[in-house]
Amino acid sequence: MNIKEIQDLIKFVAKAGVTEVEIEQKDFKITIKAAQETERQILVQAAAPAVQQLAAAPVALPATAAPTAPATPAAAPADTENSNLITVKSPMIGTFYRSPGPDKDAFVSVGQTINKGDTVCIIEAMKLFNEIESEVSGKIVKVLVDDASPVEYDQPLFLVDPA
Amino acid sequence: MNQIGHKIIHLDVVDSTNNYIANLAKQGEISHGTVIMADEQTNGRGQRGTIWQTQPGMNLIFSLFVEYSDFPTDQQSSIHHWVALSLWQALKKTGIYSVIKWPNDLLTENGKLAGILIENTLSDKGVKSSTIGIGLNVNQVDFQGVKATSVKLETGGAVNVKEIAFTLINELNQQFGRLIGANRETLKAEYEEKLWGINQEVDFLRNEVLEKGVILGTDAIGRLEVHTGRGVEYFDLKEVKFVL
Repeated sequence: MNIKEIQDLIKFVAKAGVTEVEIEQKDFKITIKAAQETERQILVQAAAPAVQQLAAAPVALPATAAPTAPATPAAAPADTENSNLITVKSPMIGTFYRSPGPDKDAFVSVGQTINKGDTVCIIEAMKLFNEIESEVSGKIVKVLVDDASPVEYDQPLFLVDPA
Repeated sequence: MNQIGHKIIHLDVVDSTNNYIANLAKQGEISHGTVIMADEQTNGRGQRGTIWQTQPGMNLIFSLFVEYSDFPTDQQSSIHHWVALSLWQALKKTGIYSVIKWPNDLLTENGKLAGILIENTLSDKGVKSSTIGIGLNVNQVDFQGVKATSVKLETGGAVNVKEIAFTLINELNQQFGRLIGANRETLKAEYEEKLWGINQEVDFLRNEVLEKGVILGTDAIGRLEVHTGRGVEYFDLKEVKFVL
């Protein structure tokens, strides 16, 4: 990176209103910090939305908790025969994908052991792609939905034998 | 919390900037607000399986990693609103008035200008993080017959790709408070104002049959609200195709 490019960068960073930027490019690394004065201005601007956020929190929380509440008891025993199995359910409406791409391997297959936090599938809605993490550790017993098919909220996706 | 763009890694070549973020995230080596840019992307994805064609160094290839404290899953279409609006504003500052083609492309009358690809990770508590990929045609002028346009074609002059990146970062930072705060409804309203075909009668294909309808907006889960011959209907992406 030459001097002209660095000067341009400083100009862009100043205009962008960020207080500090670390830029890595090949074997080159530069940190650009905004002057104290600018920092203070930015802090003042940020104060207003933060207050709104606090005020809104108590209202927003019960609203989002409501739909997830009934899911918890239902997520327990799948049926009497397989009472020890846990059902992984869809957290949203969308299209179920078993792999990260059309020519890629499935995230999980029957018989495979998974850990809590592992990605088990993707659910896509309106071009938002959601990697779904498993809440349980165990072995995949059954995949309940075909690849690329639509799923509803709370629809069972996988049966897992918990570890 | 770190600002968006507090760290920028600029790569010569990468398979996809979204993949690069996914790999860093797997190793726990990425922080909220980190941006990955690249001169060239060998396996960029417009959407599932669609390849985004770009000439090296000509365009903005940009991915941003964002972490939330349990963003509500059922409100994730707001993430689209935030990103599309920020990009729209950045383009306006560059001198271009675009429209948002529902749900996530930006166009002018000359063709597609930019695309957005958002990949979230979800736990049972909500959206944990988003990787937001943005491809913006900047200085490319030849699109090999594809109906696309660029900043250069629209404004008539070459533009520094990094300058546009920082203009975008500025907008993303300014609007982020509305996304995680209580102003998601205003984001949605502003997004809808900028939708292609809003409040206009447009042609669309349903099951390959041509129909007419007026685009009214979007619903809470991001579906398009259209007044058709059958009344007000809500469409998923796969159910309609618009004739531009």
